[in-house]
Amino acid sequence: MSKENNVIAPGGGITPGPHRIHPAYVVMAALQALVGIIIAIAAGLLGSLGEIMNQGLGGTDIVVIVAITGAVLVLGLAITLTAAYIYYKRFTWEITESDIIIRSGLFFKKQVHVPFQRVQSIDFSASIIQRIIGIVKLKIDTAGGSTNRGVLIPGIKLAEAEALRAEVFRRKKISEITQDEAMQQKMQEARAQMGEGTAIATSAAVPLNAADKLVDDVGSEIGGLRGVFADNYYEEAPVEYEHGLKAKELVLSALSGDHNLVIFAALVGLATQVPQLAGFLGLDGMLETAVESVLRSSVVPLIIGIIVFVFLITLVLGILNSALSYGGFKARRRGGRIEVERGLLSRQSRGVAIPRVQSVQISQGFIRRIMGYAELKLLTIDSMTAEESQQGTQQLQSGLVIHPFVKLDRVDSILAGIIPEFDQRPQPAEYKTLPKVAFRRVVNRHTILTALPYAAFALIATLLLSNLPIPAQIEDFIVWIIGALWGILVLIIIGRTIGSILWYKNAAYSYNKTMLLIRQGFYGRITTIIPRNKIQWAQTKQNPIQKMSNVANIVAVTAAGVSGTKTSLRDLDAEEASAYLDWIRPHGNRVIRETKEEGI
Amino acid sequence: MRALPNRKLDKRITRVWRLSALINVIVWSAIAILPIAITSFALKPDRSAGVQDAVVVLDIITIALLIVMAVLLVLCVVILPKIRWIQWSFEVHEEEIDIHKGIFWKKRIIIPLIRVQNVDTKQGPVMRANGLASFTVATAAGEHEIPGLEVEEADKLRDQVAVLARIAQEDV
Repeated sequence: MSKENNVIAPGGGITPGPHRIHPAYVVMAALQALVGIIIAIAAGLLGSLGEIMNQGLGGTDIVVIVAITGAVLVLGLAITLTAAYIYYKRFTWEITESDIIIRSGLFFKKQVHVPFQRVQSIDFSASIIQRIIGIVKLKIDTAGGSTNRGVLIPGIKLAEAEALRAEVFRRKKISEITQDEAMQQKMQEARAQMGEGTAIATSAAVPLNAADKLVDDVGSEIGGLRGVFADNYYEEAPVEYEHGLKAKELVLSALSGDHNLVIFAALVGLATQVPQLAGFLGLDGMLETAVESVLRSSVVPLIIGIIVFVFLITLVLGILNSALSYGGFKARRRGGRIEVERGLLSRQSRGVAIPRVQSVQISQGFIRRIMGYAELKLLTIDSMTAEESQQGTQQLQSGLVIHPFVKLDRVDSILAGIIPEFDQRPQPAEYKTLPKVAFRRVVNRHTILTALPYAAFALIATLLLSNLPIPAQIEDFIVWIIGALWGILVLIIIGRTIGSILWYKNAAYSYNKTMLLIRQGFYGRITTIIPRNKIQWAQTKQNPIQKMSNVANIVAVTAAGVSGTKTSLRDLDAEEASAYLDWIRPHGNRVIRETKEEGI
Repeated sequence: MRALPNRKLDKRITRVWRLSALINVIVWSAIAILPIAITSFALKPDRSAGVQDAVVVLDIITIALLIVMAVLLVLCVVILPKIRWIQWSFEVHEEEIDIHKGIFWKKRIIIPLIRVQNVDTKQGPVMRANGLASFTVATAAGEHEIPGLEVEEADKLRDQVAVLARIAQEDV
C-alpha cells in the first residue's frame, strides 16, 4: 500500500489505497499557528509596557525580552510544526467499493467510514494562499442531523478533489442502481411466493433499462460503464441554467446593507451636535486667547471631516468585502443539483441536491426594499463536520445564497431557472393579510412596550438631574442631555410606529395545493416559501390575550439547518390558523383544490 | 374550528411533574438562599454596629427569598401540574398525531405520520415507580413527547404508530 502513488488513475478515477493530504498543509497549519503566537506575544509585551515605561529599560532587560520572545517563537513553531506533521503523517483518505474512509489520530486512532449513499454533496473552499498553491479544503456533506457528521479533507489538489468528487458521485449512482436491482429481485421473489393475486403489482412495477441492469459487481461496473454514467451524471450533466453577478450589482449589494444606514444616521446625528458639544467641552470663554479662537474655528470642521472619512472608509470596506466574497459569483442548475461558486481571493464551491432544499427565502433589508432588490437564498439540510461542531455552530453558514442582489422583477425568472420545483408557489394576488386587531397588537408590543419603559427612565433621569445641585458651568450641558433624552423618546415612538405600520403591511400568508408562503418583517421583509411536503410538523399557538382578540400564531417546521428551522407568523384570525392546521393534515390540501374547483 | 383531541394523559403524571418541580424549586432556592443565610450567620457574633446593620439587611433578603420560594412551591408544585394536565390532550389518527397542550401558550400540534422517522418509549426511575412511560415521535426536525402513559398503553401506541407511519402515504 503505497501512500505516495498517483491519486488520479491513468484512465480517470481514483487509484485504490490510502492517500495523504497535500504536504503544504503542514506549512500552512504552522503559519496559521505562528500568527496566533505572534499576536499572543505582542499582547504580552503590551501588557508589560506600563512597567517598562515606569522603570525604564536597561541593556540586560532588552536582551532578556528578545531571548524570551525568540524562545517562545521557536518553541511554539516547533510544537505546531510537529503537531501538523504528525497530523499529516497520520491522516489518510481512501475510496473503497462502498465508502470513503478517513483515518486520523496518533493516540486515539480514528477511522470514519462514509458510505457513498450517505454523501449528499462535496464542497470545496480555498483561501488565498491555498489558491496560489493550488489546493482546496474539501468537505463531504452527509445526510445531516447532529449524529450524521460530515468529514473534512483539509488540503488536496484541486484536480484530485474534482476527480474524487466525480468518482464518489459515480459510485453513489452505481450503488443506487445495484440497490434498485436488489429491490427488484426481492420483489420478484415476494411475488413468486404470494402467487397469482399480485398481477396488478407486477405490471405497475417499471422494469429497468437494459443498460442499467447488468450490474454484477461494482468494480467491473466502474470500468465498464464509465461512459454511460458519466454522460448523464454529476459533472457531465448539462447545465440547464446559469447566472452570474454584474459588477454594478456587486457594488450596490455592498452599499445596500442596512448597517450603512445605521452608521450614516449615527454620524449625521453626531455631526449636528458637534458645535454644541464643542461648546460644552469648555472651549467657551475659558481661554480668551487667539489660540483658542483658532482652535474653535478648526475643531468643528475637523470633527465633521473625521466623521465623513469614517463613513467613506466603511463604505469602501463594505464594497471590498462584498467583492471578495461574491466576486466571480456563479449559480447553476445541473440536473438534480444546484451549484454555487463564489469568492475573488478565497474561493468556495458548494452544491446541493434538490431534495435537500427545504425552502426558498427572498429577503430584503430596508435599503434593498426601497431600491427594489432582494437576496435569494435556499434553506437546506446541513450537516456539521466534527471540526465545525468544535468551533461552535455560529460559524456554520446556513442556507445557500443563489443570488445576493437581484432586482425584484428578475426573481421569478431566476427561480424558474435554478429551481423550477418552486414554480407552483402562491402568487401575490392570492396573498391573505392579517385582521385589523393584529395592527393594534403590533403597535402595543412593538411601540408601546418599548416606549413606556424608556419614558419612565427618561422621567426619572430628568427629575434626578434637575434636582441635583449643579455647578453653573455645566448647566447648559445638563439641559442639553435632558433634551436629548426626550428627543430619543420621540424618535423611538416615531420609528417604532412606522415599523409597526410596515409590519402590518408586510405580514401576509398564503397556501395552495403544494406550497405555503409567509411574508413578514418590520423595515425589511422576508418571504419564505415552503413546499407542503417539506413541513415536518406544524402548530398553532395562542396566549390568553390573543384568545380575547380571537387571533393565533402559526408555525411551520422544516428540517433545514442542522436541527430544524421554524417559520412563524403572528396574529392570524383564529379560524384561519385552524384552517392552516387542517391544510397540514394529510390530504388536507385536497379540500383547497376541491373548493376552488367548485368556486369556478 | 376542530374539536380538541380526546385522549388524556394518565393522571399519575401530575405526581411526576410535582416531584420534579419540587426538586427544582428546592435546589435553586438553596443555591440562592444558602450563601446569604450562611454569611449572615457567620457575621452574627461580630457586635460592631456596621456589621449588625449588614446582618439585618441579609436577614431581610433571606426572609424575602424564603417567601418567594414558598410562593413558587405553591405555584409550581400545587397549581401548575394540575392545569398542565387539564390542558394536555392528544389523539393518534390514522395519518397524523394531534396534540393540544400549554399553560400560558396553548399549542395545537399536528405531526403527519408520513414525516415520522422513529418512535420510542422511555421510562425514568420516577416514571417507573408510578408505572408510567413516555412515548416519543421523532421527525427530521425534532422530537415530540407524549409523557405519562401507562406502560402497556405507551408500548401499544409505539407499535401502532410505527405501523401507521410505515403505511402512511400521500398522493399529492
